[in-house]
Amino acid sequence: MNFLSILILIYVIFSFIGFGSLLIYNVSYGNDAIRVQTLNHLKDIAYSKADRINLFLDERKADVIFLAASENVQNAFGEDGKVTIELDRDMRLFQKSKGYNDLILINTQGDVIWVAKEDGELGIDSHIVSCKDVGLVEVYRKTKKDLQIEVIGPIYCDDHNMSEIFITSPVFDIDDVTNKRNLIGIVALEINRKQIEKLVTMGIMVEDIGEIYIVDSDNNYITPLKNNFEDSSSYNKEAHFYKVYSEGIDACFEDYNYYFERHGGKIEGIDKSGIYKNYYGIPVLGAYEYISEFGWCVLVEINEEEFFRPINAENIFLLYVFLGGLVFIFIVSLIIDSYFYVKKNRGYNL
Amino acid sequence: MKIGSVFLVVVFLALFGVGIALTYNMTFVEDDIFNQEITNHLIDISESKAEQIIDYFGEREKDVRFLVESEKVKELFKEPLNSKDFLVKCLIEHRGRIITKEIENYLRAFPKMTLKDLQNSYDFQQIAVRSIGEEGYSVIYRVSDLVIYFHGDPNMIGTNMEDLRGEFPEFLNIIDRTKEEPEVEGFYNWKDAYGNVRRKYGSFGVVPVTTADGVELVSVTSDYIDQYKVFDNVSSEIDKYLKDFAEVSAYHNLILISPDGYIAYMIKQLEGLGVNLERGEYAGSGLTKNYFDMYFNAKNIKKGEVVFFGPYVRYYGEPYLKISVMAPVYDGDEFLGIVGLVSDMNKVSEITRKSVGLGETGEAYLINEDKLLITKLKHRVFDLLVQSIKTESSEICIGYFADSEKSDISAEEIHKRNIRKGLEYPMIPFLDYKGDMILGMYYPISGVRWCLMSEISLEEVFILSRRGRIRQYIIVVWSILGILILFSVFIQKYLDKNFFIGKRKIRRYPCRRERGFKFWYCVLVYARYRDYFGNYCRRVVRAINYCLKLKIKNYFLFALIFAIVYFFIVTSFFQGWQNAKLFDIIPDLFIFIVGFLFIHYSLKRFPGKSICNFVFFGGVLICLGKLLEVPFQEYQEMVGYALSWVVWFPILVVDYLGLLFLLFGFRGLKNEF
Repeated sequence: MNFLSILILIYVIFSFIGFGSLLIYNVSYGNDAIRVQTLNHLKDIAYSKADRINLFLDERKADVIFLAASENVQNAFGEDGKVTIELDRDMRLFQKSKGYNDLILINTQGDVIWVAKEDGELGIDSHIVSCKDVGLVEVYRKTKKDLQIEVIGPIYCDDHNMSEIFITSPVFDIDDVTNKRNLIGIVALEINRKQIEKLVTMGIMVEDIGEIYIVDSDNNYITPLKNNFEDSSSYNKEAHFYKVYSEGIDACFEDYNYYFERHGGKIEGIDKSGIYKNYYGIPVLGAYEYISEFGWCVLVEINEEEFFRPINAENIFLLYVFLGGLVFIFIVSLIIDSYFYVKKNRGYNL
Repeated sequence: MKIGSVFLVVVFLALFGVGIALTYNMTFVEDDIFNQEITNHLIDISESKAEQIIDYFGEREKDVRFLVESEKVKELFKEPLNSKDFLVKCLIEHRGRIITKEIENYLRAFPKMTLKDLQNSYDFQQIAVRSIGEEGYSVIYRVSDLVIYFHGDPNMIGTNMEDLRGEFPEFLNIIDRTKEEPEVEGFYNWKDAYGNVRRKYGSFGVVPVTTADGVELVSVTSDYIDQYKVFDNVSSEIDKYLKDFAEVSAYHNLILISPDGYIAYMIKQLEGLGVNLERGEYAGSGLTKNYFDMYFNAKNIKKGEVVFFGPYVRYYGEPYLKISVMAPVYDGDEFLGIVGLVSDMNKVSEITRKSVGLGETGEAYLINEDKLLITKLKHRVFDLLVQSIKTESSEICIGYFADSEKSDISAEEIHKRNIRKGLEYPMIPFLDYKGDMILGMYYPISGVRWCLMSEISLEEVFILSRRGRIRQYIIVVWSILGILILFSVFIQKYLDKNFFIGKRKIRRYPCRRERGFKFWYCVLVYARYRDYFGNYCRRVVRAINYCLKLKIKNYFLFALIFAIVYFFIVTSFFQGWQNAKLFDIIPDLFIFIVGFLFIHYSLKRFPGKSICNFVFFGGVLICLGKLLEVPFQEYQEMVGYALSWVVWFPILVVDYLGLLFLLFGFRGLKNEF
C-alpha cells in the first residue's frame, strides 16, 4: 500500500469524524442552547404584545363604559329620545380626540340612530349594505344577546374585505326602585384595525428576519402577513383565501382551550413556543400567546434558516479550516512520498 | 521509520486539532452568538415595556385633549369664582394640626428650653411662625394670660388677646373653648393689615407639652376665607360627567385651574382646592407645592400643547407617586384656564414590575430626568424620588433627551437608530446596586423624559444556562476523541506489523541540462518541441520554473504574496480598505497556495508522464476557482443576500474539476508503483 494513500485515507477518516462530531454536537448542544434562548425571547415578545393589546383594550373598555354611563347618551335612547346638538358635538369630539373610526348608537330595535361619521349607516336595519354593516349587524346581535361589553370583529364580509373592530356596550336604564336594568340601546366604538397593527410591530432586534401577526379562532389573519401565503405549500384552496394554517396557530388555540377547560383559565405551564412550519411552509422558530379578551392569538416567528445563518457561517468557517488542514496534510504527504515509500512488511522492520 | 508512529502522530494532531476547534467553537464562537441573542432579548423586552408606558401616556394625552375641547369643561371655566367656608377650613385645619404637632415634637426634643429660650431660637421660630398663602399665618399664645409670644409681626408680640374681647367676641369665644378642648376651630371677624374687618377661619391647637418653665402654649393657624375661591355653581350634570370620566380611567383627580391661578375645581375635594397658585407662598409649602409647580409648568405652554408633570409625592407613605397631564383650555383665543388629570403611578409600576423576560433576578425600573428612582425596585426598598441611580447607562439614556432637542428627532428614535447601527454594542456587564454582575439596557421615554432601565442577572442568563451545557459538551467531545485515539493505537500496531517505510531514490529530471539558458529563449525553445497541448502548457511553466531557478519555497512565497495582494485588493474593493477583513478568506488563501504547490509538484515529478498533466491542471483549476470565488463571495456579503446558483455553479464546476483532475492524477501516479 502506498504511504501517500494511507495518509490521505487516515486524514480523510479523521476529518470526517471531526466534522461529524462538529455537526452533531454543534446542532444538538450549541444551537440548542441558542434555540431555547431564542424561543424564550420570542415567547416574551408574544406575551408583551398580547399584554400591550390587553392594555389597549382596557382603555377602550373604559371609553365605552364612560359613554354607556353618560346621562345624555341614555337620554338619547329614551322614549322621546333624540341626540341633542350638545351630545352630537360631544360624541364627535370624543370619537375624534380618542382616535376612533366611528361611534355608533343602536337602539333596541336594531336601528342605527346616530353615527359620528355620516357615511350612510344612519337608519339601516339588518339590511346588509356594506362591510361595516355586516359588522354592525353582528354588534347588535351579540351585544343584545350577551348584555355585556363585547369585542366584535373584524368580520370578513367577502373574500377581500373585512370590517373594522367594534367595542360595544349595552346601555341600561336602571329602575331606581327595583334596581332592575332595562336595555335601552347599544353604544359601539369602531376601532381602526391599523391601530392594532401598530401595537404588534416586531422588536428592533428581530424585525428583519421576524414576523408578527394576529390570527382569530377561525384562522383568519387580522394583521397583514409578510409573505403572500397564497404561494405557500400550506395554502388551502378549498378554504377562504384569508385563512391561514400552521402548527403554531393550532397549538395556540388548542393549548388555551385545553387548559381553560381543566384549570379554569390558567394557561401557565404551556411551553407556547416551538419549531414548526409556518403558514408559508417555511420552518420557523415560533411563539404564541392567546389574547382571551379578543379570542385571538399573537404569533411571533422567525425564519429558522435565516436565524441560524450566522451560526452556520461560523461552522462553515471551521469547515474551511478543516479543509485547509486536509489539503495541507495532503501536500505534506506528497512531499514525504517523494522521499519515502511504503511496502508490505515481509518479516522484518526497518 | 515505523509507519505506525507516523500514523499515531498524525492522528493525535488531527484529533487534538478537532478537539480544540470544537471547544473553541462552543465556548467562544457560539457564546458570542448566544450573548448577542441575550442582548437582543433584553433590548426587545425594554422596548416592549417602554412601548406600553408610552401607550399609557398616549392615552392620558388623548384624555386631556378631549377635555380641553369639551364644551362642558369650557362651560365650567366660564362659571364665576366664589369663596366658600369649607375651602379655608379644609386647608387651615390640616395645616394647623401639622404645626401644633411640630411644636410638640420640638418641645419634646428640647425639654430644657424655657419660653425665653424658645423666643430666642431661630429654629423654633421657623416652626411656630409660618405664612400661609398671602395673608394667612400661625401664632402662639400662652394659655394662662392669653399673651401672644410668637407672631410674624413683631408689634403684635406681647399683645393680650383678652383686650380684644369687646371688638372680636367670636374670636375670644373660640379661645375660651381651648381651656376645655385640645383642638378647636371656628370662623370669626378680624381686622386685616389695612384696617378692614374680614371673615376669617382659625384652627387652635393646645400643645400637649409645656416648656421647661412650665408654660402651656396654644398654636393658632388662620386665614381669611376670601383667599380661597372655586367655581360658584357647578351643575350636578357636569360634576357627574367629569367624575365618570375620571373614574372609568382610574384617575386620582381631575383639576381645573382658573386663568388667575385658583384651583377652582377638583373631582375629589382635597387639600389645595381653592388656593391661588399665583401667590408664590405656595411654592414652598408641602401640600400645595406640587400644584404650584404643576401650574407653573403648564402655565406657559401654548394652545394645543400638552405637558406632563411629575412624578411627585403627595404625602409620605403614599403607595404610589402621582403624575399629572395638563393642557391649557381656550375658547377661540380666550384663555380659560388649565385642565389637569392626576394619575397614580400604579399602572406604570405594574408594567415595570412584570418580570417577563427578566428571569427571577432581573428587574425593570424607571428613573426621571434627575436620575432619581421613581418606581420601586424588586429586591431592595429605596425611597422613591430620593435614591439616585447614577450609572453609565443612566447617563447615556438621559443624554438622549439633550441630543433629541438638538436634532429634532425623538429620543426613542435616536436610541433605536443607535441600536441598529450597533453603537450600543457590546453591552458590558456591570455591578448593580446589589453588587451582582448584571447586563443592563435602557430605553428613553421622551414624553415624560424618563428612562426605563432593564437589568438581568448575568449569573442567571449566561452562567446557569450555559455552564452545564458547555461542560456536558466538552466531556462528550473529548470522550469521543479519547476513544478514537485508543482505536488509533490498535491501527498503529497493525501498521507496524504489516508495513514499513523505505527511502526513495531521487530521480533527476532530464531538463536540468537546460539550466543557464536565457529566460525567454529557454521558454520558447523548450516549449516548441513538445508534442501535445497538455505537456506544452506544463512545460511552458516548467521552463519558466527552470529558467528562474524556482524551488518550492519560491513557489510558496510567490503564491502567498500573490494571494494576499489579490485578496486584499478584492476585499478592499468591496468593503473599503479601512474595513477590509482578510480573516474570513484565509481558508481560500491557503487553498490557492496549495493549488500553486500542486503545479510545482506536477513539474518536478515524472516529467515524461502525461498523467502529471492532470495534477498540473488540477492545481491550475483550484487556483482559478479561488480567484473567481473570492470576488463573488465578497460581493454577496456586500449585497447581503445569497447570489443565484447560476453564479456559483460555474465556480463549483471549476473547483470540482480541479479536484477530479487531482484525483485522476494521483491515481495514475499510484499505479506507477
